[in-house]
Amino acid sequence: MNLFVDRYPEEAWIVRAALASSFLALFLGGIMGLIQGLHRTGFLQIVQDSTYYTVLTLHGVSMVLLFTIYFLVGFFQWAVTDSLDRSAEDIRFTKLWYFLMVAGTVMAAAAILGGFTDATNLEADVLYTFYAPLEAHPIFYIGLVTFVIGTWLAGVDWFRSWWAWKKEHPGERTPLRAFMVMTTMLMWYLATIGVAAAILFFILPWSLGLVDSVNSLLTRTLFWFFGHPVVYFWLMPAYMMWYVILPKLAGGRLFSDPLARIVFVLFLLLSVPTGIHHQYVDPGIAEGFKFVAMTNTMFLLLPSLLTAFTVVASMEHGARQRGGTGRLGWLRSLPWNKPAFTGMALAGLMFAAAGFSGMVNAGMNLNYVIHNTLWVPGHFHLTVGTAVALTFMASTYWFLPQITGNGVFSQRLGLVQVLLWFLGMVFMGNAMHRIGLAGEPRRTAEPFYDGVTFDTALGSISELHFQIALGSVILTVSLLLFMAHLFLSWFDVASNPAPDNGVIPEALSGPENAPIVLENLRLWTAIALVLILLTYALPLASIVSANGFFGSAGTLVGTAYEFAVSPFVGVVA
Amino acid sequence: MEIHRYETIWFAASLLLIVGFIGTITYGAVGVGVEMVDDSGGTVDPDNLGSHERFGDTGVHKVNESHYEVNMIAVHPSFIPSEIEIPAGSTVTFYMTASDVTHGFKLVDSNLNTMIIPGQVSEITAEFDEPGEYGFVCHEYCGSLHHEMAGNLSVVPEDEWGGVDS
Amino acid sequence: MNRPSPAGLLVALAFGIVFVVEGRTVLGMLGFELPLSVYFPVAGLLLVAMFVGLLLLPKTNSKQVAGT
Ligand code: HEM
Ligand SMILES: [Cu+2]
Ligand SMILES: [Cu+2]
Repeated sequence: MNLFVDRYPEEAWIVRAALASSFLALFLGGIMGLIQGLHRTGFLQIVQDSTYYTVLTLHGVSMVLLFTIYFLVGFFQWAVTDSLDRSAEDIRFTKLWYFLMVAGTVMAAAAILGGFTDATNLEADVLYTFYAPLEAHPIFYIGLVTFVIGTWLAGVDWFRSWWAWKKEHPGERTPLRAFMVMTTMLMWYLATIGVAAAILFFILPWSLGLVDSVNSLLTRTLFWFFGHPVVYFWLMPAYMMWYVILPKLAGGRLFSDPLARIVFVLFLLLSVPTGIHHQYVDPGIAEGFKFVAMTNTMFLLLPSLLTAFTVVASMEHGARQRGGTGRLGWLRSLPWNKPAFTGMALAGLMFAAAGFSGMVNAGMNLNYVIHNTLWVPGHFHLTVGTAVALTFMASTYWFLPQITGNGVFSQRLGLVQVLLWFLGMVFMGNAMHRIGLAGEPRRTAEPFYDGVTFDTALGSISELHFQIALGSVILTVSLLLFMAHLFLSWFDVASNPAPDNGVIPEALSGPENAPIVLENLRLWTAIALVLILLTYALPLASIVSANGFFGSAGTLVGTAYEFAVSPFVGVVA
Repeated sequence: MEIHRYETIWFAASLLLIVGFIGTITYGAVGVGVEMVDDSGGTVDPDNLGSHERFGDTGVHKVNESHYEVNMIAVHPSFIPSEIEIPAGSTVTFYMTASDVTHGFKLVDSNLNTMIIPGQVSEITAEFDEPGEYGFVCHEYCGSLHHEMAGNLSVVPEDEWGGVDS
Repeated sequence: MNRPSPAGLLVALAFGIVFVVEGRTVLGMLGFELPLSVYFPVAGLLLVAMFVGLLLLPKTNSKQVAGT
């Protein structure tokens, strides 16, 4: 009786519910992705051009807010419960945050889906970045906030478990997985200050008509205050799997536990004070601020480079344990027949490729060439769309038995599925990057303009459009296989027994070797706050002093509101 | 804490790479003088562009023999003006702002690229030595006709240039 | 060298396709631009040859540890 579901049935229920929500969003988003891939290349246009943006909003929100974050909360619940080996402090509270997230999702989804029909005044064709003054129905913003509050409470839930555990284990090191969850959640609390402020103080009051206008640059800057660290929120569960599950699957164990902790602390410190790198080409922000963000961004490469080392080293160790030999020959001794392993390894490989295009994005001057071209979606379909998404899907082949008690349907089918995702992304990702270099913009229903031609250095634009369409189709096939396989495994169609392999081995170099100061999360949070203040206080102050909190116009209510709220906002910002 | 020797080497190499990146870009910005979009354009009231000294008068303006200014307003789904003609061999400074929502501007086949944000003025300068045709597009989603928002910049031989918009 | 397992063959094939796709990009960057009608047949044939080559290898008698 080693399976998680047998030890913690109630927590396993939450994990299953979160995963089900997550994959539902993935499925929906994937269908939208296919529509986009075929529409903007001109191969098949089943929606109106104007509806394309509703589709794209649904794709963005489903993928990067719902799919990723639902998966994260499910996975983190497992990580906390399993690694601390204790039940949730109060399972009703656990259910509360999950259902809050669901309530938020329903509201936001209703607003987005309303965009497909004229029957309601609900709509939210604002894409997942909702740059004001593009305006959605207020229920969209309320839904987003509710969803985020749900995640905040989830963090509270896990911190309560951790504090209770510490009381019972004075002087002991926090287990690695719990440590990773806590640092990630702290980062999340800091990051979400940005969107929460943007929505609650500015966008929501404006969409409700309480104030007349918004300061676009201010809400945009607050969005990216959140928008960069959110990518690490997607990535941290994937990193966690590379650190704790991949080495085990490879047949060995993690190389170094202390180094894994250092990596997560670095992410806590550096994730937020980088957001301005999404605004390199924004007017109204002085070059110096952009430069600071760039420097921080470059240093943020460090934890990822360290991760690359650890992951490869742990895999090699595993392969040698399995009898692998030779300089590269050990690669053959890895369990390539296991989709969980193969999927994660391929995801890691794609992430390395994405690292290169990421360096171009991060360079202030190179960014001018590719900003808002299709290069950018090319980049993040390799990061969140593969490094994260493929890791999540792959890990499910290992993870699902832990939380359902059933074995998976077919490892062979799973292998085909992860390979197809990899292939599809190679086609789509490669073509998106190249077409972006030719200047074709992203977020465009019809990149076919009179009098504007895009020339690629080699090949032809039509060849690249074909690659995008082909990639989209392969990806969708992979996704359908995944969903079918998930369904068959979940409902135990093949009645395969669950393998009893839920134990995560200790690292080669264990936690007792880690400097004790790593445990001091208060200290790291305080330093992170100082870094945020250093990078954001001046830019925000200058944006506000140039255009005010609410842009130009002001009504009586608006002015009164401004008067009442601004001192407070000033403190938060 | 014990750290494997390879790990130390990797760590050092990583740091070197990072510092190298920052170094090259600093050199690019300071040494070579690659110009960035920044706050030099100042701010405007997006609701009263008509009476603004610059944006009340959109189009091409001559500063002197070799320097021209282009004042542009982005409003879904067009650029005002969307057809621009300038003489070859000139330096052109673009001033752009938006009267409705956030837009973008990218001159295809160049690295001229900026966001256009209501309330802010984007100022970018470029040199056009040779005659040629350039397309430009709005690269930020701005509404249901976003994909139609584009324009054209013709760089014509000096003697063919038709003069400033009246 | 021994023949890879069926899973290994699948993985090899996937990587083969990736090399074909990216190969064109890389060749282009190096300044060799081949027409589509030349590149893909040649690259495709090479890929098939590689795959057949792998199949011709003697079967393994490897004593790999069973996966977990
Ligand atoms: C079936 C697989 C997928 C296909 C075919 C697909 C296709 C696309 C295409 C063609 C675009 C560009 C649309 C445009 O800019 O006009 C896009 C945008 C995007 N995709 Fe995907 N995608 C897929 C999976 C994913 C996954 C797994 C994620 C993340 C987890 C993701 C996240 C995004 C995001 C964030 C955008 C940008 C949305 C925006 O610009 O507002 N996609 N996708
Ligand atoms: Cu970022
Ligand atoms: Cu636009």
